Amino acid sequence: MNLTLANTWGLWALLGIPAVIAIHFLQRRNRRVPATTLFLLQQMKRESRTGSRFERLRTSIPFWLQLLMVLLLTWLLVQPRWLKHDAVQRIVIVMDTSASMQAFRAPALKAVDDVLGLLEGPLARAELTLLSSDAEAPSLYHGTLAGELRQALAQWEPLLGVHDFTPALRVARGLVGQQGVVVLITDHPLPVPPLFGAQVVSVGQETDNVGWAGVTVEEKDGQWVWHALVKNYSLTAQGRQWRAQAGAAESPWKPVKLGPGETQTLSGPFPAGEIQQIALQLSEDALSLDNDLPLVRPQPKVLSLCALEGKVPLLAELFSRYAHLRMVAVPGESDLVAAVMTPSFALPEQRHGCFFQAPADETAPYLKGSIVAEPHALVEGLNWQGLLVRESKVMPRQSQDRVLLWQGERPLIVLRMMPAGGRQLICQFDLETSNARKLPAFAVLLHRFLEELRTDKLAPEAANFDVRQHLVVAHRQDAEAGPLKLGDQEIPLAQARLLRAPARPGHFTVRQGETPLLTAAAHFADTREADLTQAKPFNELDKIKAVQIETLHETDPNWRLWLLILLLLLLSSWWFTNSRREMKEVSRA
Amino acid sequence: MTLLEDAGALRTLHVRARGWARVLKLPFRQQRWRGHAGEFLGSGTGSSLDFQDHRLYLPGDDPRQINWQAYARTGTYSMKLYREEVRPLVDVILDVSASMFAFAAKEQRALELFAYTIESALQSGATLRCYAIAGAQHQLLEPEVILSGQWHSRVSALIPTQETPVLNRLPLRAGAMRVFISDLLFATEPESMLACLSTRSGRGIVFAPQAQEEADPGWDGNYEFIDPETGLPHEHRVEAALLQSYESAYRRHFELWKAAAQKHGIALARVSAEADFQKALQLEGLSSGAVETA
Repeated sequence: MNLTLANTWGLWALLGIPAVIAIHFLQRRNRRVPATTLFLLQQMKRESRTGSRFERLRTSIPFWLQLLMVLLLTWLLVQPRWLKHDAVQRIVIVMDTSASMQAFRAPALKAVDDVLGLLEGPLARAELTLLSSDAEAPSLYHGTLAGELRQALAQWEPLLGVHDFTPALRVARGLVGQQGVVVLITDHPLPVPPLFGAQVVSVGQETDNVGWAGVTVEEKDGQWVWHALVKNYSLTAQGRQWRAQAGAAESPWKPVKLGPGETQTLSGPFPAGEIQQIALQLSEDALSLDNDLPLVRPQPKVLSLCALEGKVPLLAELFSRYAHLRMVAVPGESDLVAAVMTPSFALPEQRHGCFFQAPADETAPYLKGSIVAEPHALVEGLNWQGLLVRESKVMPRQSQDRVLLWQGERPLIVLRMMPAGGRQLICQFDLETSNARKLPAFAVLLHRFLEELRTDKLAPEAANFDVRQHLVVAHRQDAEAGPLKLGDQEIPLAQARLLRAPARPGHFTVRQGETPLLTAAAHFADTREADLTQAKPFNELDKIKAVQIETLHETDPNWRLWLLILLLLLLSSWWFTNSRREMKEVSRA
Repeated sequence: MTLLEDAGALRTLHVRARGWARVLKLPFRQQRWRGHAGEFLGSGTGSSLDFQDHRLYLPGDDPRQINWQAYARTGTYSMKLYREEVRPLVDVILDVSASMFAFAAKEQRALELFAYTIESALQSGATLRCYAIAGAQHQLLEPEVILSGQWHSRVSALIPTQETPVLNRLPLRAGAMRVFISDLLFATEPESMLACLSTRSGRGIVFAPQAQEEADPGWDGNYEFIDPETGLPHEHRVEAALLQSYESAYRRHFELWKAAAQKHGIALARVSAEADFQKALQLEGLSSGAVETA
């Protein structure tokens, strides 16, 4: 028999037992009466000795009836339930995969134990599922054994940022159906109850934390310098130590003191020489993810540009303002050709280019009509209303052209995507007579165009990323190209667009075959996850237990009989009490 | 204020007792008395009209009692003797132990019995002597003090004690009617006490007031019995079986007293405190010879 009490509060009714005893003691407490025949009583002293109080109560029938009533009433109030023979306990435990759970891993494991502790005895079959709140991640465990589920918890790595639990809860509810139990184990109470009837167990506790909150690396006078933010998330002042590590060399620990919520910027140069990677470290605290800040010396891809122009070197001057752009003289050695269009000029289809019209007649009127930008990433959000362009001959449009900017019916800027992969930005105006060089929108457009080309360029680069940041790595895609490699992990080319930085802080590389494509560092800088001041304990295990009992147990079928017996006991007790009183009165009469 | 302390109530009680004494009297007629001249026939010769005997004249005899007719016939002085009429002697002993006044009804009945005995004796012209007794101590109560109802102070002078009344220390008069008013709730053997009432030609009468709280207490449960003599509590648990044993022991106790009284020729009448006084007194008083109808 697997008995469970649905309402343990009903056990308070057992207090009725001492109450009944107390009442009977009060009723039966010593009455003070004068007795002139004490010598007779003392002759029978052995018979009338004062025994224990329970012995005194033994012979009282109403007393025992009332005790039985209390026990029956308790039985009815606690709502005993028996486990159904065909009961299947379906429990899905959804583990919050937010990075902040790193600080509460041990309490989270205990919470899982507590939830598993709600499982009924061997009579009930269990179907257990362990999910992470990352809906895209596979389930951690699905089976029937609590022990195996505990082992599967080792795979649980809370590394995500703030995310919505709803998709994971939807999946969980779908797995267990309406009768099952969905438990979300997180580190903070949710502002509103979660959807899909999930019960929440929060294992968090307000905890002090200091961590790296971000970094920028800039080149200044030929020297790369890092600026790292260190933030105190606590409500009290905190002191920590930090150091930098470059190769085998380590700087000494230095103290840093931060007031409540204070952010400080720590700066330093990259070491000279060939050392490309450094790491900043903070002394350990509750959340270790934000205590390491790995960095690489940035090495952007450099585009080479060949400017083909006339007498006035406007193109060279225009493009020399963009960073990481190298001017070359031979068009065949460049990544990009900038030129003034002539009727005889033709660029190979696989080459990239940026073309302008030849200078227009200075007497030609300026174009009239409203300037309208097409929805395209290159021109999105740019203001072209100040662009003044003189009338000139328009190049005929081709089928692969995409007009980016119109003035009236006349295209001003066209993006031509060549079938062989060349990308050509064709400006239907000249730089000399137009004011395009002074227009910020035009500068941004060129920058975006150059960045697109830079991104697509097959060349090694070095950069710093956030953990799990989406990576765009130019790589070979021809039939002979091999898969990408992120560290030791092999990424099929079909999934290259899903490439992300590692979830844990650290240095990493992306290669294709033996060709290095990206040398990078991933750092944790999620300030929302690092803030542990909102973590609070919260527990709905009682609700879970109630749901378990409600769905897996059947009620006592004899409760009506017990109720009837209770009433009979009540009447009997009343009758015994009264009849005894009447007998006394009759005997006195 | 208890009845014993209320002099006015005691005087009222005596007024009522006079009425009772006119209906039921102490059994003076059942005995020959010695003593001063009175209304009851004495055991000796006297000056009543009842002829008793003849005897020879002896010097010192009253010459007025010489039977001159017999002298004329026989020439010998002979005396004609008549029955003596005397006033009976009554010694009243009131047990003033606290148990006598433990219950209001019992106190009332005890004082009623005492008043009745006094009034009955006085109406009979008896020579009355009253004692209040508590253990070995006793106090003489003059009739006038009793009739004034102000004898409480005398009684209260006696130190409360648990001891059994020591009757043999009382100066009981020979040939007196000895009326002992007591509840007889003593742990001692009745023989020794009752013997004192019947020695020296005494006529013993015992009036024993009894309360229902003693005969049928109806105890059930835990009690803290207060000993009226000492005021000390005694815890007992009384259940039906024990109560039954108690009632049996109570009955046996008075059966012993009655047997002892019968042995010593003492009339013992238990007088219930609950019933009307005359009815209660008649119930055992007449059958035991403790009282007689007027």
